Amino acid sequence: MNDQITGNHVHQWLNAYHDGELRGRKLERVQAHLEYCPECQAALAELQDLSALLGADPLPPISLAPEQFAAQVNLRLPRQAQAPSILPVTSAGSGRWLWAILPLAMMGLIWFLQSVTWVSSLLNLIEVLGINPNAVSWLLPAQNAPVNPVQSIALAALDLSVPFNANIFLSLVLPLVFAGFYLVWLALWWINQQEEDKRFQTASS
Amino acid sequence: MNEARYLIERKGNVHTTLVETQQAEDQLIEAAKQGNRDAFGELVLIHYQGVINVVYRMTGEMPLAEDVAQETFIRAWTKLHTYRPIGSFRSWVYRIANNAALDILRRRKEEVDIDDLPLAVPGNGVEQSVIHQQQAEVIRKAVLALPAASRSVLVLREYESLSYQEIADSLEIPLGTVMSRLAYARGKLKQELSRQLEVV
Ligand SMILES: [Zn+2]
Repeated sequence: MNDQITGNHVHQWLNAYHDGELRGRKLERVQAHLEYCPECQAALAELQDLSALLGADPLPPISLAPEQFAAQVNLRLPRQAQAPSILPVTSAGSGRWLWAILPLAMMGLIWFLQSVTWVSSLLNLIEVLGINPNAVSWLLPAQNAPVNPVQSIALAALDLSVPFNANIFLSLVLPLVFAGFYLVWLALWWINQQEEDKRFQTASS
Repeated sequence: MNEARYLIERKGNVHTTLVETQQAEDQLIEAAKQGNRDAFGELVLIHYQGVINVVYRMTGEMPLAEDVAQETFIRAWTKLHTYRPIGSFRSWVYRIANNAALDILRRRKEEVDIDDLPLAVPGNGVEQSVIHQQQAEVIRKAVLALPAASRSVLVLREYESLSYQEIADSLEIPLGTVMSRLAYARGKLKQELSRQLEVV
């Protein structure tokens, strides 16, 4: 082959040409080149031989008839349809997860807040009553200096200190908040369930 | 739905155009997305052979390929709401099939030990000569010895005749990568086969 043509070989386009992926000018250029270049012709023939070889190995027979295959797949499909639910979830699987986790997380939060309230109430009571203040002083803020026991008993009898009041308020409100959350969750769950049933009915009809 | 079914049933009809088939498939996908199992079953019937073929070429094992193909369709059902009709449904399902096949191979310590592969059953009805069978065996092993990334491209092109764009969509790689991986796979195969077969 003369050097002028050798410099313009179309090797890098032969795969695309062989696969019918070339259009327009590029296709024309490759076709024109193939007319006279035996080297590129040989390379193209190799590609064609390879495809023929690969194509000569047929898919072994499938054990199931098409309908059997489809029926088996149908049997194994999860019951739940995959259309997006009212909760912003990515799939049916994580949706179910979220349903279970939501009330649990809420209960965990309530328990945590409840126990914090309890402990601080207890500490307040101890402080107010002046029962061995040194034993618990490490739990209390530093500026809370030990108080006179007599004074504090009188205080406890007459009046409840401010943090103590706040704790009572919290312990009253928290269950209400929790009950509200629970009702909302129940309503969402019920709506979701209704939709699920509807979907299942259309799917099985 | 009835319309979709009607169109699918007419698929064998000479008058059915490609556009009609595509519309029918779109309707089936839409119905399946709403949870219609019959519609999904039709989609399975359209694509099951291609899916089995992809998995078989990726793994080299036949009963296994059928199981993985079923798994593929179950995954497709649960992920159907993520399908967007930008690319073809076929390339979307083949992506799941390819990933399922790769999962199986990964679970089996990266690549299959190609020497342990069972001899493939000869095609029924087709009388294959012993030489032909041996040749097919050599080719199959050479394909399985390719790196998984370029093997996926080769399988989708050579065995399922996907366009470069469809392969790019299916494997979520750029067109240029499709071309370079395909060229690599073919070059490697040519090299390997010319060593083992007198042909090529
Ligand atoms: Zn040339």
